[in-house]
Amino acid sequence: MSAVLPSIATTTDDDPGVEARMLQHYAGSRNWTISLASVVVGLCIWQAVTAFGILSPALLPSISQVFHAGLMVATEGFQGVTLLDDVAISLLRVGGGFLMAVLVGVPLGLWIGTSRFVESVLDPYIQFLRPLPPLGYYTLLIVWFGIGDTSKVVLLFLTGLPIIVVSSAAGVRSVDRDLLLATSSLGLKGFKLFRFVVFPSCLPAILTGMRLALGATFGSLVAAELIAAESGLGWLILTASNYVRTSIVFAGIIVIGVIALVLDHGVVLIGRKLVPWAGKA
Amino acid sequence: MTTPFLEAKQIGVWYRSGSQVVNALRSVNLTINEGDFVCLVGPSGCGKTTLLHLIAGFLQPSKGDVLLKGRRIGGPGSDRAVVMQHPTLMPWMTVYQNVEIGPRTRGVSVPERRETVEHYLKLVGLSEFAQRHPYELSGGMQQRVAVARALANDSQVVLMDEPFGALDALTRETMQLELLRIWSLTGKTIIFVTHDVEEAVACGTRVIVMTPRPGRIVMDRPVEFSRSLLTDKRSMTSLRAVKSTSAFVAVREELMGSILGSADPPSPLASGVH
Repeated sequence: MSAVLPSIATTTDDDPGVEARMLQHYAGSRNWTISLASVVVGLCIWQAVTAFGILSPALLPSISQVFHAGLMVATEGFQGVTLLDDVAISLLRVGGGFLMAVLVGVPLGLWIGTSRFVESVLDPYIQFLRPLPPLGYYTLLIVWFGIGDTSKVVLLFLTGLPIIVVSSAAGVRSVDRDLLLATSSLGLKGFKLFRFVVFPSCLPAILTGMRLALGATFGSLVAAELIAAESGLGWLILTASNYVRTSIVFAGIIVIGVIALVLDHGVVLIGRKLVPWAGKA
Repeated sequence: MTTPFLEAKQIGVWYRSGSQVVNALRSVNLTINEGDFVCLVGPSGCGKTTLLHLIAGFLQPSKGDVLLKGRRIGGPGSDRAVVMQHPTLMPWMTVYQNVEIGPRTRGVSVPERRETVEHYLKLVGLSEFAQRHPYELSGGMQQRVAVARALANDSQVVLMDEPFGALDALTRETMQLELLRIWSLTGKTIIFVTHDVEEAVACGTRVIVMTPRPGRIVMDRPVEFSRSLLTDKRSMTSLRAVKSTSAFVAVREELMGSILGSADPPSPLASGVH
């Protein structure tokens, strides 16, 4: 280090590590070893708290109690419904509602993005529905469609729809104008321009919308099952807590968390497969 | 009298910007022959890009007509390919697919368009990169793909809007030589917008100087250095040598003088208000 140079220069320009560290910080991936260690420490604390009897098992069951409760619900079932059935029913409801939201929302969003007229017609409804808490109108859906699966699928559809519509429409509006001009000068127009230029340009935005919508629909589902259901993961938690079976509640929450993680990761993986160029252009 | 290849007749372009009406082009007359390499130069706001967009069909003139072989230009079309300042490639397609998109859209058969794509990729020196994606290439290489894509569509006119503006000086001069070589091999008509007078003098067969407020043509001058650059060995040293000859400097300064002279005295508000 030269004493002649001002200190600012020595801490930035002379240190090749600064840029590398900034890159690591902003663009690098997180350190998985540290994350794993963090989880292990968390579990140890949990284990210690229960082992020393600091909290009663009704408030915080031990890891092994939760594990056995999960195993019990998985094999014997709880109130006549096994864990697998609950998972399957919940996933079917999410799958149905989410799929409908995608099938309707993506074309609708693309249409809104391309046509000012359609946007003007539909935007008030979308903007009203978007910030509306889905559970606010869930009771109405129960009145219309009954307490069964239909009302839940419709709820999830309505939860996911505005999210997907808004992001798809935003995708269309953010298509590079120069790219549109350049490709139109190559003779692309109408459907071909849409198929080769506009739609692929929108894919990253559509996938982001799908990821957000999946998270939101899963959240709505569990909440809806907590309010009114005869099966499903939300129902499992609610019923177990009514009987103060806290270990089953814990097992249910962990299963819900893991499913949410897997679903989210699945969309991210699909995104990487479908839009490998995202963030690189 | 034969019909001119490309003709702009009494072009006027006005557009509304807030409460003001901006006169982007006024009384622009221009005739371009087939095979010309026309460079449009001038300070920003002089309407050179507007003129290019009129020829591309992205814009319609408020007054007058732009005619290609006697037919009015009513919109963008595959006979006039545009190369933008940035590569504007489709990142989801490979280099090959990007170049192929024009012929593919026009329904050219697979073997025929393979031949076309390979020919133009070779011409821009990117044959080995056919199966790469744009984000794997440098900015200069991406711009060469954009040039190949425009040429592969077999358009009669190639319109270039400051295509080398975003490149570093060295890459830029390499691209100038590349473009001259491609132009001489294909014989296409090139209309080239730049704010770099030196680039215009080196590449063009004709340099058109435009000035702003309102945008109009103040000078239209033939230049001949591109021809001599082509007969030479087309190396960077010969390009540097040509650019430092007194003849080159004289033309460059004459054009610079025309740009500066017409910008003086400044007339801030006499501008576009109509």
